[in-house]
Amino acid sequence: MSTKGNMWFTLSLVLTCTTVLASATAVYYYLHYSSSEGLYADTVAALDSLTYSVRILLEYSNGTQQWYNQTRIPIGWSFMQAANKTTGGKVLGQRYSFGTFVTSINGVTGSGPEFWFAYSWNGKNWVLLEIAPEQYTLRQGEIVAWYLNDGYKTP
Amino acid sequence: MIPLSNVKLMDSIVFATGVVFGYVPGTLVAVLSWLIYGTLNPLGFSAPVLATVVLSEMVYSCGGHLMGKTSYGRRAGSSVDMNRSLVFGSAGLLCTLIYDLATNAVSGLLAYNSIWVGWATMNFPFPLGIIHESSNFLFFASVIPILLKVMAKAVPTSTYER
Repeated sequence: MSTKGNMWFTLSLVLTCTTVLASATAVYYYLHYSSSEGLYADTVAALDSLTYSVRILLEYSNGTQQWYNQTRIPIGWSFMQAANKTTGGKVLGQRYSFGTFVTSINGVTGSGPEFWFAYSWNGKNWVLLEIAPEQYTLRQGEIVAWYLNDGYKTP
Repeated sequence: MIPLSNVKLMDSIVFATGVVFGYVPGTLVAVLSWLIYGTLNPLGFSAPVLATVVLSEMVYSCGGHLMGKTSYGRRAGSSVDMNRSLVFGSAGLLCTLIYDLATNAVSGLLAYNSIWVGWATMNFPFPLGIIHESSNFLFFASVIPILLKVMAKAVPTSTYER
């Protein structure tokens, strides 16, 4: 075999080897991916029996929206507890006989005509919650919001 | 090399024996090596697995025998060059692939009653097949030319070019 022929033969062999190794690596990662996906599904299924997954929206008066999707909360938690969990305890309020009146979230305080109002998504519209946030128990898959406005708007 | 799973110098030795001395001596080295390694192995002993690996190890003596018939193998004592090393490395990787497919098919049949599961476990959960093939590529490319040079001194000049 000539030197040039030798070179092509060697190159073909080396390329065959890299193909074998690349295919084996692809199979290895695919199997790991499939296995991880199965483990994730199992974990979520186990979590579903112990916790609820809810979505929480924070909307500021300038229109900025902050979504906390797939927030895991223990069954029986109130909107107040869930909001405190997602914001790291940055939901502040004053206690009255009818319940807690939220004055500040994430350091943004309601003032003038604008205050923090709580809403729930009924599947079509945002509905103002006419109950104190610590008395409103969240359900599986519920979408709720805090919106800083004058009370006449919805998120 | 027990701590390094699936990294074995034995395959290179069997292959080199096949190149220099032919299929039968290569196979004898394979069988004897596995009888020692497979029975005194700290990881345990299993007769069906031992039989499988002994038979599968013959892939290396067969590959070595065939390589001995090519210009790469006939120049058993020649100096080490990149082209030759790559051919040996590639031959090692392909022989290892056949070895791994055969042994994993049998262990899959024995453990799970399925060849496909055996092949799936070849690289999962640990990439043992990839480790075996890559390490043998490196061993064959680096160790075999040196082994052949040493072995060539032990055989008549008329059989192998020096």
